[in-house]
Amino acid sequence: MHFAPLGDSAVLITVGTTIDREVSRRVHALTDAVTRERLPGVTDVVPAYVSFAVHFDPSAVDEGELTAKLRELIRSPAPAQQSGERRLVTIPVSYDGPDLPLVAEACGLSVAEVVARHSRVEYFVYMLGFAPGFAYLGDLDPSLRMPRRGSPRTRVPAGAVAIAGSQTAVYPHDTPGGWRLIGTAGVAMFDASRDQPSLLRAGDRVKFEVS
Amino acid sequence: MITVRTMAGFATVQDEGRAGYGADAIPRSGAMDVEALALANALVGNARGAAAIEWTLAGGTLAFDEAAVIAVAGARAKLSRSGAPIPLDEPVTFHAGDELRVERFVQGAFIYVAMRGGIDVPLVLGSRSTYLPAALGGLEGRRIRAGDVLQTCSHDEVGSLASRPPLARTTEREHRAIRVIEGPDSSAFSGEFRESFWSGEFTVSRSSSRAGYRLDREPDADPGQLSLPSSPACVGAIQVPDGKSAIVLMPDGPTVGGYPKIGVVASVDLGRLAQRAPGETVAFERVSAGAARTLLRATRH
Repeated sequence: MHFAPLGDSAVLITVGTTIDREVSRRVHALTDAVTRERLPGVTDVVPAYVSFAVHFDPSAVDEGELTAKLRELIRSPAPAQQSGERRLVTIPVSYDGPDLPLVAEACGLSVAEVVARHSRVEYFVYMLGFAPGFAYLGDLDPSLRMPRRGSPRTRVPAGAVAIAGSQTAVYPHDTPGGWRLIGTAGVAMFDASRDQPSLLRAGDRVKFEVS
Repeated sequence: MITVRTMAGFATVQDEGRAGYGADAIPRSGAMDVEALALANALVGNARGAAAIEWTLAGGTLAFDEAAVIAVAGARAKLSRSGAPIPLDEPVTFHAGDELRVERFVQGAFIYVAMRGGIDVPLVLGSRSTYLPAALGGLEGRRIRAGDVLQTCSHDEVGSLASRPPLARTTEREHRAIRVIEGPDSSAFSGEFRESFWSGEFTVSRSSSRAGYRLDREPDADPGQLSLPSSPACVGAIQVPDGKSAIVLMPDGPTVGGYPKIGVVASVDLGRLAQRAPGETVAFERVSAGAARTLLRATRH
């Protein structure tokens, strides 16, 4: 476990070096443990693939004391355990994306087979990033892996289900984007009026259901 | 009530932003220059993080249909009240029928127009700040345009007007270099690249925004092939996608970043960097995280 300053108002804690589920699960468990602790002066706890950041208000908390508390929290056995069974979220999808025929052709599969291979996997939310509510899901069936587009689309519609490399995601907003669009989700991935604005959290399990 | 008569610039409602939603990938947003926002608010008796109009690029006109006390701080700009010049950094009383005109920007990038009580828009996830890409906060999640009507919150809870600028705006603000803390990925860059980065002079690019400032320079060093898993970012993080440009993440920037971070701008200097307009130059100076915190506390007390 490596601690490094991320500027003067955050500390970056690196848990591992390679992107895999075991490292991610540990990141999520530690993130949950630190969040639950509600340490004074801590303003945000943000997980990524192999690391997480603890943001703090430097005028409200002493960095040395905070780091010592975090080290203690991380050393104690509780956070190392899994924080219970993670949620399974099912997302209905119409497989009607504009890139679906191209993906099928590039992968040497029928459209129906692409749909079957995308929808039969139970995915894992590695982290959220890029845009509010945008969850990076893995791992895509190896036969469906394609690079992103050479030039991103200037507008991908909210709800677009997309793939790139070993990952899949649902765009929560109209944004520019370079992933391959294969479908449309039937639920809002992000809604600021909900208690939990993002549909997905890091660590969730996700299934796409053909609708 | 205040009516926006004309708006040639780019203006949004901003406060100190919405911290605490990084796990949802929601950027903090909020004022680009929080110290200037705090100054404008203090001048009209508001709490330092009350919502104000953040305004950049070009001028415009606001019409007041009732009396109001306002203050404008941040960039240097020419202002007038119903045709007569008014000062920056001072509370100014407007009467019903008066118009505030931002004539032009002279130096710097962002002004903050604070009104006694603060701008009244709904709190979204704890903040009134506008985040355009997800249409959060502010006025219906969008920029302010001609024809909009703004309200202020009740004045009951505000303090007395400050008689003079309450914040240190002299020596700290005038420090020329932008102070930067070495980033978590600094050692991933070659020694040659690091040396050229710390001694280089950058120019603020026109393709800078509330999400990030692009700082350009002549290519003079190869950062090498760096491939690291995306890791948490923060406001002020400096990413170097190629040898030529440095991208400094600003309040609307991403919560997680894929490019290695060579440094992070000290909080005390974020507003000063935000006020560098396109074409202005930027040089960096290394500072420890502890020293950066000491500088920040000195500014706020």
